[in-house]
Amino acid sequence: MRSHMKRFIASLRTLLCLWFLLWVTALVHAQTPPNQEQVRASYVASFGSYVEWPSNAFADSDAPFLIGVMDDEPMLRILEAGFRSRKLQGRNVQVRRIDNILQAANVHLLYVREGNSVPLRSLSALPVLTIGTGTSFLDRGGTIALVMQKERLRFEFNARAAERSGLKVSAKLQQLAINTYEGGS
Amino acid sequence: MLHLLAVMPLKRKLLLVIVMGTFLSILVAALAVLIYETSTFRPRIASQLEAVTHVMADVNQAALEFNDATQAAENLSFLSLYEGIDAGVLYQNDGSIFATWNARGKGVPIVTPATAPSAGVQHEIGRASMSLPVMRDERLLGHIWVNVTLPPLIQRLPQYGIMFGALALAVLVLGAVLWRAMQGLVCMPLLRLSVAAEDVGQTGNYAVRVQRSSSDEIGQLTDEFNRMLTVIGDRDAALQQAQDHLEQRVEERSHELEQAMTLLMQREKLAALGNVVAGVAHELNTPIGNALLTATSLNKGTQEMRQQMTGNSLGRRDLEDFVTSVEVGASIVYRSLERAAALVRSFKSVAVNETSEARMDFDLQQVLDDCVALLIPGMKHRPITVELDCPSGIRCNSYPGALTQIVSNLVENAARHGLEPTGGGTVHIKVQSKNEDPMLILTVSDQGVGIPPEHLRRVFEPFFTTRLGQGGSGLGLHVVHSLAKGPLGGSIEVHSTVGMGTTFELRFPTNAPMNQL
Repeated sequence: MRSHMKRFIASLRTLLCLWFLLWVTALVHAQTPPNQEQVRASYVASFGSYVEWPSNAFADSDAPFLIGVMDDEPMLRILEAGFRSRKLQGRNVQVRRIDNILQAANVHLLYVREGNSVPLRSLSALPVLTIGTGTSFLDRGGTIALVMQKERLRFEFNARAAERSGLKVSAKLQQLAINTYEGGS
Repeated sequence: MLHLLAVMPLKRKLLLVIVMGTFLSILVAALAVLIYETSTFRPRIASQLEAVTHVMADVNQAALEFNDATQAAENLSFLSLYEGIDAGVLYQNDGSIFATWNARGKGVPIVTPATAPSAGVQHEIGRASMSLPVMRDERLLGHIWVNVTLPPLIQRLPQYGIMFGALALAVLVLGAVLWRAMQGLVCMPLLRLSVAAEDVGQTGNYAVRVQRSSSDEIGQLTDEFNRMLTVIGDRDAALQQAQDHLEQRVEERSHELEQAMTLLMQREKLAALGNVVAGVAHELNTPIGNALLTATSLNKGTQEMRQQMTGNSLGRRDLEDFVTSVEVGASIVYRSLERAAALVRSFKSVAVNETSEARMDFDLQQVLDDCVALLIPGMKHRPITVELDCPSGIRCNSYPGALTQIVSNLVENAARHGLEPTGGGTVHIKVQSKNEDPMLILTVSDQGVGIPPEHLRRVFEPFFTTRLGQGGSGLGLHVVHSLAKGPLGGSIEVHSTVGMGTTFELRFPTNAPMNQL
C-alpha cells in the first residue's frame, strides 16, 4: 500500500517535472523573436502577393505558382512548410531547389541566398521576380534586394528590372522600399 | 400697418415686396439647408468613416506585412484630411498596437482601445468609430480602427453663415437690379400717368398726352388714358362752345325783352296819360258847359234888354232884374272858367312832368292834391272816394311825375281790384314823415278783398295779371316798382290779408338819388 503510494507520488513527480520542462521549453520558444531566416521567408512569401505576373507566365488557370530557391536549404524548408496549405495569386504553390540559373527560367519567384553571385542576365527578359540580398544584387539585375537597416529587415527595389520582366509591382510595396532604382543592367 | 401700406408709393411697395421676397427665400433656403444638414450629416459622416476605414485598411496592408510602422504612421496621418476624423490605430495580427495617429489639440483626447476591437461600427454620443480587419489574399494581417467625432451643429454654422451672407448679398444685388428694372418697366410709366392725370386735374389742359413705353397692360392703360383725354377734351370744347352760344342767345333775348319792356312801359304810361286826359276832358266839360249855358242865357237876356230899350218899354224894375242876372251870370261864368283853368293848369303840370320826367323842387302836398284832383273824376261814376292825409310843408327834390304815376296807379289798382268787387269804399293815401328823417313813407291802403298769398309775391312781376284779356296789361305794378326803385330811389312793399284789405308802402327819400334815370 505504502509502496503503491510512493510509486504513485513518484510517477506524479515525474509527470510534473516533464510538464514543467515542456512548459519552460514552450515559454522559451514563444519569447524568442522569430529568427532572421523565418522573417526573410515570410518577406519572400509576401512579396508574391504584391506583384502581378503577366498572364503568359502561367500555362493555364490551374498551373501552380513556382518558387525557386537557390543555394539556401533552410529557406527552402521554411517556404515548403509555409506554402503547404497557403495559396499565392490564387494558385497552389510549389517550392523548388534551383541549382543552375537555367533551371530558374520557368519559376515565377526566385530567391538567391546572400553571397551567391550567380549572374541573373539570362532571366532579365523573363517574368521572374528575383529576390536577393544587398544593393549589389540589384546591380546584377535583381528586382528586390533585402537589406538590414537599424536592425530591421528592409528592401530595395529595382523598377527597371521589374519593368523588363513585365511584372507589375504594387504601389503599396514600392512605397515601403527604402530605395527605388531606375538604373542597373 | 395696412394704412401704411395703403399710403405707400408704388415704388416703395415694389421695393418692400422684393426685399421681403429676398429675405423670405433666404430664410426658407436656410431652413431647408439646416434640415438637410441635420438629417444627412450623421449618415454622411458614417459613410465617410466607412470609406476612409476601408481605404486605410487597404493602404496599410504592405506596411503591416513588412512590419513598417513608420510608413503605417505616415499612411494614418492622411486621416487628418478628413473632416471629423480625429484618431486612427493600426493593430498587428496579435492585437498589439502597430501605429497610431491622433488629431492633437482638437477637443478632448480620444481614448483609443489598447487591443484590436472587434470589426464593425460603434456609435456613441457625438462620436462614431469603425474597426476593420486588414486582409491580403485572405490572410489576416491586422486591424484598423478609425474614430470620428461629430462636431456640434453650432461649430458648423459659421460656414453656413458665410454661405448665406454671400447668398443674401447676391440676392440683394439681384433684387436691386430687378428693382431698377421694375421701376423702369412698371413704376415710371405709372408715375408718368399719375403726373399727367394730376396735371390735367389741376390745369384742365386736355391736350396733355402720355408717351407710351410698352405694349403691355400699362401701355394699354396709357392708350386708354390718352383716348379718354381726347374724348373729354372734345366734349369740353363742345360744351364750352354751347355755353358761349347760349350766353350769346340769352344776351340777345334779354336785350329783345328789355326793348319790349321799355316799349310796353311807354305804352302803359301813354295809356295812363290817356285815362287822365279822358278824365280831364270829362271834368272840363262841366264848367265850360255851365259857362256856355250862362253866356247863352246872358246873351239872350241882353237881346231882350235891347228890344225893351228900343221899344221904350224898359222899366226900372226890368233894368234891375237884368243887372242882377248879368251879375249872377258873370259870376257863374267866372267860377266855371276859373275851375276849368285850374283843371287845365294841374293837368298841364302832371302831363308835362310825366312826359319829361323832370326833376324839380316841389311841395309834396300840392303834387298829391293835384294827383287826387285828377283821380276824382275817374271815380265819380263808382261808389269810391279817395282820402288824402298829407302833412303840409314837405319839400322834395325828386320826380313828381313818377310819384304821381305811382300814386295814381296804386289808387286805380285799389279801386279796380280791391274795392269794386265789394261794392265800393275809400282809398286812403297817407304820408308819414319823421323829423330829420330823409325817408318818407307813403301808404295807399284799402279795406277791399285783399290779395291771395300765392299772388302776393308776384304782383310786382311784369305781365302778372289776374285779368288777362279784360284790359289788364300786367304792367301796372311793375311800372310802380321800377319807378319806385329807379327815379325815386326808394322801395315798395305790399301787405295784404284776404278779406281785410291791402296796403302798399312806398318809402322814398325827399332828395332822390342822382343819375337814377
